[in-house]
Amino acid sequence: MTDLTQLDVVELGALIAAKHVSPVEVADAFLARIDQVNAGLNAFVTLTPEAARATARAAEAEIQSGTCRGPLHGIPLGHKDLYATAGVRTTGGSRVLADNVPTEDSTVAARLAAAGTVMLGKLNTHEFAYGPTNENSMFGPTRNPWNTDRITGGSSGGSGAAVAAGLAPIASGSDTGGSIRMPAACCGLTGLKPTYGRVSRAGILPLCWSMDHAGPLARSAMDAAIFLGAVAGHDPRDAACADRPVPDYPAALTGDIRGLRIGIPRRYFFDQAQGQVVTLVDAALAELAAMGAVLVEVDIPHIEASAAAAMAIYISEATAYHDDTLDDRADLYTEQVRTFLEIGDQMLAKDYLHAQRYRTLLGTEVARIMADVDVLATPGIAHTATPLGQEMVDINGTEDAVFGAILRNTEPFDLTGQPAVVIPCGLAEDGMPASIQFAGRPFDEATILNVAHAYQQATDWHRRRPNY
Amino acid sequence: MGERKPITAETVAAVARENAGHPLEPERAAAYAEALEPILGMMEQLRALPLKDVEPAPVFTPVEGTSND
Repeated sequence: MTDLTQLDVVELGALIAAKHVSPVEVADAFLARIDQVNAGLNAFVTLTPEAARATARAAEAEIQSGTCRGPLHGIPLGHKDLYATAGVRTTGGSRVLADNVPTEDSTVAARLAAAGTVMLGKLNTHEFAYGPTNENSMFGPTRNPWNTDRITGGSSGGSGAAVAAGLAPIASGSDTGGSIRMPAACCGLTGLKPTYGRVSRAGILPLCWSMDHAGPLARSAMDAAIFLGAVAGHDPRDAACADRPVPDYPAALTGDIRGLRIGIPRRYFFDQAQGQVVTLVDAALAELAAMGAVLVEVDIPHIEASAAAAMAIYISEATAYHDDTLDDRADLYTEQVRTFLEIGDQMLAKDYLHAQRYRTLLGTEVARIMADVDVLATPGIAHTATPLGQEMVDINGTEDAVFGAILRNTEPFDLTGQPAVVIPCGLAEDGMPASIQFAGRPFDEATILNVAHAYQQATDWHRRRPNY
Repeated sequence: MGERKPITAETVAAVARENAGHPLEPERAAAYAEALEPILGMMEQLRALPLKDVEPAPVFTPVEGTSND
């Protein structure tokens, strides 16, 4: 008997569409798995089993009557607890919103529901997405199923743990400095941050308006493409959402990368990553070259100012968003998040604007480089998942703050807004996943997903599951 | 602009109280000053960038109403 919780969206969708299994059986399998292991991981923070079974029964009836809405019909999923879900508690991982029950779905949740998905519940997040480790939440830290003493990465850490441990085949996340890609990297998953404006942010609690992105944590690039196809497209509820056609992403994943030019920015992205991670990423690049890709060394001027710019923007925008709550309920935040928010009072407007000007400068430099290459490739994050509570990480003999090092390779692409995907590319000496990241031209998600898909057709790292 | 001096707990507390309207306890202001110092150091890196003719990334978009607004 196939363990349904180990399958990806494509595999489950094929079984459902062929009526070999019903959406009810699939939902029950995942709910049983959640019952069995969620307490040890702290991934789901709110469960909706009755609603899930009712939705699954409706999907079953619809499919039995001959109407299949598409590859997501009857597929269970979880939403990061930052996404508004009508009638279901949405806390942002914070005591500030402990009793918040939205009356309307976020656009992404609504579009996924329209595609026929079955929501199992809500997933843990670093409080208000304001941190990269998922240690600070009103629900407590999320644990990594590859090693429960390690972080999942954040802030979509509940989504990462759930998909990696078979509690859901796919989950939503959000990414402001890397919050989809960092948990994907730590948990051995495929994490896609689409182009800024490709997917609506409406109904998702903001961390930082000018850098927030919505996207999936998935088990494969094809699954991420299916998710993106269901949620992308213009939304008048989000002023930043682009009014551009949505390509057929799954159809674009041919696996053919012959002649594709891959830019490799070693300075900054590789030079400050653990040697064991770089070795695995270089092996992945060699695999891609063997498939016909052309590797090109590139250098991105001014890239080293990314952390400063991102910091100025997070601190300014997040503090503005939380300003009224800080007035009278500051004690409801976790200490780390409260500190970041209150520090925002000290940020000068000119530094915020310097940071926003830097985004133009960096974007111009990257666009110039990408006139000659189709994608950029870097390590997903600079190190493997660190132990919970550990503030420093050793990178080639140098002690670096986890809060800085883990963000280093992902946040530049939140600043430029270009799409980026992280996929697993091996297991490091500590038994934890290592990952490679591909960044593409704005609105060219298809190319980075195709590179990821090509790699996943040739290797099986994305099929490895933690023994949890 | 002259060389920046390290931020103090007194400055943090005064800005929070007088500019932002979020009074801080002295011990919290002291802790924030310590956390803020490296961040302000990072801001010096931004100020040194070649940004003379570069406009900020966000572009203002006038809000279009309908005839019924």
